[in-house]
Amino acid sequence: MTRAIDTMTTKKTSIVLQFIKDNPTGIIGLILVFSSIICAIFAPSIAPYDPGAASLGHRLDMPKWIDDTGKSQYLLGGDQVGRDLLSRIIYGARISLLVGLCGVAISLTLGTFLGIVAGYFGKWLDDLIMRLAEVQLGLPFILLAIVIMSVFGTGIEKIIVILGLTYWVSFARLIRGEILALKEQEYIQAAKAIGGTDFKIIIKHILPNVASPILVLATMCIAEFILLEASLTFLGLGVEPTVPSWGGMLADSRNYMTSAWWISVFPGIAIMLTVLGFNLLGDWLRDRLDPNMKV
Amino acid sequence: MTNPLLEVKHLKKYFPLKGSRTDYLKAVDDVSFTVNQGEVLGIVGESGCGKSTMGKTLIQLFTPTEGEILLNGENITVLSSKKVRQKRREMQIIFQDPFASLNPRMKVFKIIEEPLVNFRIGTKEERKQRVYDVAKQVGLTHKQLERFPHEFSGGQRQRIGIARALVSNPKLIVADEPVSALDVSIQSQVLNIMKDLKKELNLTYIFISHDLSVVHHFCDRIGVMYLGKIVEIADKHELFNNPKHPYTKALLSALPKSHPLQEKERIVLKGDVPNPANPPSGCTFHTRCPNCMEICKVTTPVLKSISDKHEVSCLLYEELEERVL
Repeated sequence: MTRAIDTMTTKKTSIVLQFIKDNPTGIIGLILVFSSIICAIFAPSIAPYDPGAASLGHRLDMPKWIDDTGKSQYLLGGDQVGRDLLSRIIYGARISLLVGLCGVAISLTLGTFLGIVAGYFGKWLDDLIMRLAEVQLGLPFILLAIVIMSVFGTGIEKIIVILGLTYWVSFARLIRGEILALKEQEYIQAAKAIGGTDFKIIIKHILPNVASPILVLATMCIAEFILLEASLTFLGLGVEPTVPSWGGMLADSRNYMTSAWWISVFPGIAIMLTVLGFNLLGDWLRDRLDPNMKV
Repeated sequence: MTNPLLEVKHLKKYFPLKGSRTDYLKAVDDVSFTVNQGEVLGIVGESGCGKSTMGKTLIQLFTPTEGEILLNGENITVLSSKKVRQKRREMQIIFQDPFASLNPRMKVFKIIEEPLVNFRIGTKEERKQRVYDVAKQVGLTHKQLERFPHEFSGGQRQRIGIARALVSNPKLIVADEPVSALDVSIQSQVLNIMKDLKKELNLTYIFISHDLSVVHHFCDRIGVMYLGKIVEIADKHELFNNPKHPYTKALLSALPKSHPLQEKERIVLKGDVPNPANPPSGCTFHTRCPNCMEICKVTTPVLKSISDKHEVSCLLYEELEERVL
C-alpha cells in the first residue's frame, strides 16, 4: 500500500525513467525509427549542405574528425564527386522510408484482405488464393523486378508497387494460418452464437487477435524492403542515380572501398541502424500488445 | 399443461471424411426428441458420442445434414442465415471451456454487452443497465466488468459466459458441459447459479454432460447417447431406478455407491467405443452389449416408447412387445 502511494507521489520524470528502464529494446527501437523519420521529413533543414552540390575540390575528403590536414569541411567526409556524405545520408532516409512504409502498406492491405477471405470463408476461395500465392512464391523477386523494370523503366513508385505485389503472400499466409487456428476457438463460435455477422466477427474478434503477428511481420517487412531497395539500387534497378539513396551510395562507393572507406561504411551503418530500429520496435510491440503479458 | 419449446425430428449431422466423397462421420445420426418449456433435458454419453455436436447443431452453429429443429413450432433449419441470426436471440449456448470461450482482447463489459449490440436491443444507457443487472445475477461486480478475461478464475469466467448467454433474454439455453472444466467446489457454485436463474427467468436448458451425478442433480429428463444416437430417454427417476437399455445400465453401475453396504453389481463393458466413421452393423452397441442376440447384428433398433415418458432403442424390448402380442 505504501509503495503504491510512493509511486504515485514521485515525479513524472522518474516514471519516464522507469519506463525506459523496463523497456530498453522498445526505447532504442523507437529512437532509431523516430530519428530516421525526422531525418526524412526535415531533411532540408537538417542537412548541412546541398546533397546534390558537387565540389571537385572536396573529392573523397576524409571525415572532418579524422582529417588532420584541415582541408575537409564535411563531418562524414565527401564522396567521389565531392558531395557531403552526411547530407546525402539524411536525404537518403526519404527513399528508404518511403519504400519501406508504402511497400508494407500495400502488401499488408492486400495480404490481410486475401488472407482473411481464404482463411475465414475457405472452400474454393481458399484453394484459389493459396495456389496464387504459391505461384507468386515460385517467382524469384529479383528476376521479377528486373523484368518489370526493364519493361516499364526504373523509378521509386515501381519499386514500391513490385514490393507490395510480391510480399502480400507472406501476410496472406500468416493471416490464413492464424485464422484457421482461431476459427476452432470457442470464442469465435460464441461470437457467431450471440448473433454476430461475419463482418463483425472478423473486425471485432479475429483481427484484434491476429494483429500482433501481423504487426511484427510488418516491421520485419519494412526492414526487409529497405534492404531490398538498397539491393535493387545497387544493381542499378532502383531510383535514378541523382537521387540520394543508401543503396545507390553503396553501389557508387564500391570502387573506392580501399581508398575511401567512409563512402561505403556510413550509408551501410544508416541502413543497419534503421533496419535494427524497426526490428526492435516490432519485437517490443509484440510483447506489449499481448494482453496476457501485461501485469 | 406442457407444450414443447423445442422439437427435434430425425436430426442428422454428418461430417465428410477427408479424401473421400462417400464416407461420412456420423456424429449425430437420426436423433428425435422434444423439450418442454421450463424443462431441463440432460444429455449424457461418453466422449466422442456426438453430444457437443448435437448441442451446436441445435443452435445452428453447424448446419444439420438432415432433419428438422422446431423452436416454438417454427422449423429453424430452413431459415435464411439472416433469420437464423435473429433467432439466436431466443437460443443461446454456454460453452465447455471457459478459457477458450471469451475473447482475450475484450473487456468483460464488452463481452456481455455484445449480444445486445448485435441484436440492436435498447439504447446505450439501457444496454449498460441490462449488463449490470445480468452481471449482478451471476455475481460479478461493476469493477470486475472493466477487467480482461485473463484476470479471472475458471469459475468466474464461466459466470461471464453465462451472463453473455443470458443477456439477450433467451428461452432456450444449450449448456455444453458447462462445469466439466471446473473444480468440483466451483461446479456446484456454477450449477446453483444456473438453477436459480432457471427459476427466476423460466429458462429451458439442454444440459450436456458426461457426469451422471451432475445430471442427476440438475435435470428433469435424461437422454443417453451412444455413437450419435439416443438409446434411451426417460424421466430422471425412471431412468435411474429402472434403466432399460444395457448401455444405460452399464453407465449407472459405474456410479459410486452412496452407501458402503449397498449391494451393487458393476457392469464392465468390453472394448472401446467403435469408430463413428465406421459404426457396427445393426444395433451400434452390439459389439459391447452383454445381452447381445443374433438379431442385434443385423437389425437396427429404433427409439420406442415402452411406458409413459420412457423410450428405449433396444431389440430386447421390441422382442418382448411382439411376444406379448
